[in-house]
Amino acid sequence: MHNPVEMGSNWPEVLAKLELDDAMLKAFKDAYPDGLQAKNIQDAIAAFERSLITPNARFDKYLRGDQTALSADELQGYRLFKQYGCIACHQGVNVGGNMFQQFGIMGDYFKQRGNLTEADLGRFNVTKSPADKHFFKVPSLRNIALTAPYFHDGSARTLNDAVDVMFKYQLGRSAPAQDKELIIQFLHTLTGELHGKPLAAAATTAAAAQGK
Amino acid sequence: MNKSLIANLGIGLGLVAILAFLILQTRAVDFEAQNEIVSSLRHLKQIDAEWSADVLRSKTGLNNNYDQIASPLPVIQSLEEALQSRTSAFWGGHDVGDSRILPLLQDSRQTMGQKIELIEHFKSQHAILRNSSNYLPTAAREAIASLEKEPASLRSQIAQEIDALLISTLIYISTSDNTVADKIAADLDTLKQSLPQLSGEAAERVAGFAAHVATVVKRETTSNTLLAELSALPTAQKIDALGNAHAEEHNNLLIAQQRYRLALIIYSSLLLFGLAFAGWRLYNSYRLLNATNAELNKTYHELKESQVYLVQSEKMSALGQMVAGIAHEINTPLAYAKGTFELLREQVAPLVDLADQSVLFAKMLRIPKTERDYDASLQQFLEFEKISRQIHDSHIMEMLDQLLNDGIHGIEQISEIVSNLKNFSRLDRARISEFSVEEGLNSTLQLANNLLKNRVEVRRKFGNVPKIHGSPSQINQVFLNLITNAVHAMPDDHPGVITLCTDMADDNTVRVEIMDNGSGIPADVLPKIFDPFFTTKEIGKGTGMGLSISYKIIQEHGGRILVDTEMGGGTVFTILLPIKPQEINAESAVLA
Repeated sequence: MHNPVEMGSNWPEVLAKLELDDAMLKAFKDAYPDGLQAKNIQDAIAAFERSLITPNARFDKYLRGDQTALSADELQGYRLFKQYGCIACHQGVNVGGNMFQQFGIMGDYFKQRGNLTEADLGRFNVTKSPADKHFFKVPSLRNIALTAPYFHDGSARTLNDAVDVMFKYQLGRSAPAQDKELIIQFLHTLTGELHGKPLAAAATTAAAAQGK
Repeated sequence: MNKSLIANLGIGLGLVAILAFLILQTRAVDFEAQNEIVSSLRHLKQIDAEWSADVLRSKTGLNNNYDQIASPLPVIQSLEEALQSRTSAFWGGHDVGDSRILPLLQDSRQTMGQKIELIEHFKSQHAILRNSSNYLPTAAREAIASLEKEPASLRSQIAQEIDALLISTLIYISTSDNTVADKIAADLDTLKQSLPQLSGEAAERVAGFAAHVATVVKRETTSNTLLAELSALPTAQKIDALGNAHAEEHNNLLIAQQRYRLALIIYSSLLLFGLAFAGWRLYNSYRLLNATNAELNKTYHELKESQVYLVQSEKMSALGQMVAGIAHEINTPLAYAKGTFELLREQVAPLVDLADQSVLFAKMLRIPKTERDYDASLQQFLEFEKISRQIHDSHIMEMLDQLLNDGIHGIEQISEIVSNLKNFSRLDRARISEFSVEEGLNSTLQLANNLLKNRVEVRRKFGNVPKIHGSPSQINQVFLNLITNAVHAMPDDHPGVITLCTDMADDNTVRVEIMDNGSGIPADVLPKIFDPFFTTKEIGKGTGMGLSISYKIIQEHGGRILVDTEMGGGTVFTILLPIKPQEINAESAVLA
């Protein structure tokens, strides 16, 4: 939190900002007897980070040898995911998250979208190297069905939109709508479990929070 | 004295500082920290080498994903942080740390940072390259398939161009030959010129294919450049340089430490030798001091002893001056007693007659009545009767009694004077007893009576003060000294008055004032009156020790003696004496 590259902040500042948010105050009051405190914020963040470890997605079960874990359509989606080249970047154990990639390889995404912001410069904001302009961390696709909206600018409301943008600007190719639909079905199999239960319940909370 | 103390303190601090410096320089080199640094460097170098191999494996397609390449990142970061903190801790306080080791570490970290950046870029470029090169044959097939509706000549020409481009591109991927890249660029231009002749979908497909070809060429070139830069990046050399510098400086440190250790041994030996020498000198000084002390003590005791005799002789001198007066004083009661006895002798004569007559009368009575001469007997009886009556009538017996009383009184007076004299002159050492200053004053006045008689009027204003603890003969000596001085200060032209007052100065202090109306003490004399051997009297009339000894005596009783004088108006000596002195020093009370 004190790290200048991360938040570059301090507790009094963070507390002062959070105290302006009535919903935050109430949520902390409900969760902790003494309400909004530095130690409780730490505890809440730690609890959140623990919740990020969500193993045992249906795709994991399939990879471990459970042939029935995926339906035929989902398996076809997986094949297309590899065939179209999504896997070139969304790869590894976390299906992404282990590299940086330029947003808009086969076309200028930002020109198309307009309203260039500083955040659109991506990794350049960290390294200040011109070669890093519009480079972003390739996100992990685990639980991707639950984490709309998508991209750093939140411009894609649905998985469909996101997959369309990926095909157009990253792969530079077109695909039949049916293939995209199958790929999206495959992406749903990456939703994991928290405390032994599928993450679907959390999805409604997240969606509700997003709706506010 | 203060300056030499500061100088000595400075020298001492300097010596200790040198010692501390040497000890600090010879503190043990931390071999464990050194080993940790060396092993961290080794670990880093190994990871670096493996990492480069993993990157090449990705390039050749042996690695399916980048997890392998991404995994060293946190390890490298934690190793570098550990190295930074350990190196700072190890070399902190050494000049070479800042001037050599830390810059090398920074350099090495910077190079490693460049490597991380290069590898990140390579990953991005390589992912795109792989995708496009995988897709390229499909893109070519789709493009050619989309040409179906085009005129046959155009179709075969463009299909040929696409095929040629596909082949050239695949060749370029495997050879990275620049001439091939140039040819591809030229062919792409040619293909793009044909694009306007194509219908909508075909144009789009062919343009897509061309874009992928361009992407492949561009990314292949870039990733080759990146790999070349990567292999040129001297991370291993930097780590080695750091390791070598570290080993070298560590060695220097050990050598310096050995040198300082030798210096420390020599220095501490010298210091020890110096301390021993100082100790020896101190011991000698102590011996000398002890000998001198013993001698001084002896001399002090001798002096004390002679002081006792000095005081005594002063006393005797005072007595000597008064001896004529005292003789006269004794003479008076003596003459008185003598006269009394002479009178006694006269008064006793009739008794002799009576005795003679009584004997004769008794002898006559023993003669038998028949033989007795009556007339003679009668005569004898009448004579006897006459003498008896005479004695009876003249009250001789009462007179004798009176005379005897008077004689005894005179002798008692003499006896008292002698007793006072004896008490006064006694050489008594520190006989502390309860003592009334008022009785002391009376007894002293009696001794000095001859001196005072007919010349000085003595007034006593006694406050009936309690007894004090002290040496009676010493305090009487002070009184006698002050009274004698007062009498001597009396001028002859007007009647002298000495006033003796006693009262309480406070709960524990008795005040005795001896006041005269004499000539007073001149201002130039006043500061000297308590000095030993100072006197204003003629030679032979005083020792000059009186007031000095008086001062000493009162001081040793825990009291004070004050003087207040006015020229022509008189002098007051005030003696303050504690009723219970805190402590009469037995040693000093030897003064008698």
